[in-house]
Amino acid sequence: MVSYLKLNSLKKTYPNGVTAVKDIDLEIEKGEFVVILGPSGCGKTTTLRMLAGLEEVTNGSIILNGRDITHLPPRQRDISMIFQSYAVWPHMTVAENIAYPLKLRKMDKHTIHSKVQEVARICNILDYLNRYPAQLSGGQRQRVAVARALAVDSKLSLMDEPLSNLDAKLRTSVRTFLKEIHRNTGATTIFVTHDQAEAMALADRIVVMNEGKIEQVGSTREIYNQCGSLFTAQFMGTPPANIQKVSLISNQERLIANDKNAETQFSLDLGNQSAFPGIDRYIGEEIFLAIRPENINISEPKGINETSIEIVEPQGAYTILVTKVFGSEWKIMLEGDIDIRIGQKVSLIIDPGKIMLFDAQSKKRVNFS
Amino acid sequence: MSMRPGKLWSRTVFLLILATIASTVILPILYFLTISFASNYEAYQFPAKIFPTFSYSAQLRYNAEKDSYTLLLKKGSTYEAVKTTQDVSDFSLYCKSQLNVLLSSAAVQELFNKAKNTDHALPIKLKKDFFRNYIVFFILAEGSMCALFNSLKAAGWTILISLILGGVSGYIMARYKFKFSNTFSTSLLVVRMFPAVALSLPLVVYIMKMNLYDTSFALAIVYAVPNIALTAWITSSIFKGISVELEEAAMVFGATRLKTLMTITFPLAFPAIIASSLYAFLAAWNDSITALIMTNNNPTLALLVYRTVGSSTIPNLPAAGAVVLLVPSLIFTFIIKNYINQLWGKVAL
Repeated sequence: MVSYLKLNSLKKTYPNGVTAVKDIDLEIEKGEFVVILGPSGCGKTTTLRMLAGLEEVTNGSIILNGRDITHLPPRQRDISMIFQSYAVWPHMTVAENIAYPLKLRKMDKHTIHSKVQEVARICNILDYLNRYPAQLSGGQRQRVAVARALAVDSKLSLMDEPLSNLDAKLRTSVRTFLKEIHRNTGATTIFVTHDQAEAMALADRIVVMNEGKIEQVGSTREIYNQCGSLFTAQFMGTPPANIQKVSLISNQERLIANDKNAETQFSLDLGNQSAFPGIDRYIGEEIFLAIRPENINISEPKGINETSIEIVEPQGAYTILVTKVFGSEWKIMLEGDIDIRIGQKVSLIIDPGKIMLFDAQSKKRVNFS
Repeated sequence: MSMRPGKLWSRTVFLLILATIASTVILPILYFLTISFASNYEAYQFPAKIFPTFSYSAQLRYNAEKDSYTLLLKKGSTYEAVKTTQDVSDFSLYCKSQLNVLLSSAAVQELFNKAKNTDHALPIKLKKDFFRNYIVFFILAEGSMCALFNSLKAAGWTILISLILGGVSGYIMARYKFKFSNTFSTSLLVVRMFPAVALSLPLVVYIMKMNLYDTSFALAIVYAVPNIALTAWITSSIFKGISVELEEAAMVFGATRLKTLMTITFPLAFPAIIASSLYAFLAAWNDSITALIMTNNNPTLALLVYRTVGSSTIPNLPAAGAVVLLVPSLIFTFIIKNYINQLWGKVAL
């Protein structure tokens, strides 16, 4: 089975010598909603622009539906795109904006008219068809851009941070709208963003990119809970995972994490060593330890993993507690409104199954299975 | 009541700016307009009037011993004798040439008869022919319609040449980065540093060889030279202002590069390009030096104004000529302004 869209060791080096994308291999199935997620400058937009044909490919190939489109001009690729700035043409009315790509495809007037009406209804902009973009709000312009992309029935739909210019409230509603559109049309979509909340909400699969390389590909759940690399653990989650470089020791069948460098003599009991099969080779070695804030619980001081609460940040639905572990700030997220004093002594309870360990050199996940 | 020093300061600055605008822009323009409607008599008066007048309050007195008539014009609270004559046509001529008042011989005769039959001075109101100076200007300036047409033609050609060449350079400056692109854009400006005379004197030889001497097109070539650079700089910032994403969107949705240029970039830049053509228009319209060198029998309007009234000792006729010159540029500016304002739902880019 050949996949619908295939990127073969795609590479982009700019004339000034900067390599924005190094060796991207990715396969996408028909109808998938794939989100490329990464911090700014990670090469995600460049990758998308190479797919669109707006950026010359330095090396590698792009195969869409069995056709090599690597060096085709954008117009021959049969794709649609939604831009960050919406890119609706200000000198055309909404209807003209939607009709423009259809006219270029030499459709007859009647078909164009009915198509414009159809997508305008879907995007809820029927009332604005005769207005100019300048007379619309940001959210409405975004809908025009979506309608224009919908109208062309392309093989591949590209979205370049389409929500980042909208205000926070609108962003979530347009997000839902995009997901709904995708559910109805089943168009293969690649969505680029730096916002993990957007990525997790929308994606069938998330592609995490960093420094021009793919860090991890997987479902939202996999990306969040089974971080493949230290970068993903640091990048995903609000607040992100608590990360500490520790050295592991074994003490009476229990796995203990120590920080060699910290002046604090804190050591964290990670639980029974049997929960970490194959950990033996890391005993005495340095390793990165990552625990998500919501995977830590607190109890009355019990003599182990004892620390004191330094800051309490109530958020309504949950409460964020800040405490010092190994001398650095760790965050704990607890459900509900927790009644706790600043300075109160607590013991940290950690589920061994939720602990993520990363190799100190390769920064890749250490798997125990 | 006390005012904060900051507020006092900003108020002072505001008033100063207002005073500057009033003294350097509004008052001179007003004076200029008034003078252009003033008769010779009024033009010599001091202090000059700020607003134009439509009529004179006057008196006509009959001098029985000499059988002559004296015209007195109101000056402040008293009346000043300006003309004493026995002759009807002499009186009529004086009114026409010095006061811009048109009176037929019959009308003068009637006034004379009335004045003769009254013991004291006869109070009369002399109505001014308001546009007399303008009419005189067009009578004096022979072929002014032809000159107006020449000016328009030269301006049109200048706009066309500078927009085509300057627009292309502007687009290149905005969209392409190449070796020496900065040198290219700066060197364009160097052309502007040449004085018009320095350019037109050597050019006139070539223009004559090309059989283009004394044509509007030849004039336009000289006008366009410095304007191409200016247009290039203006249009390059226009093209820079058009988001590349708008062009990319067109290409993604099926347009070729040329199609994108014609249907997206150019229409978007068009209003601003038209606005920048104003510079080309004004450069062509206001010039008289180059036209003096480059034309012979087909002068432009600016040159004609200069030739006709440039040596006049009374300022009212030159002022009228200048206003004649001003009106088309004002019309051109307002048409462009309105055109841009009503475009695309009245919102600027």
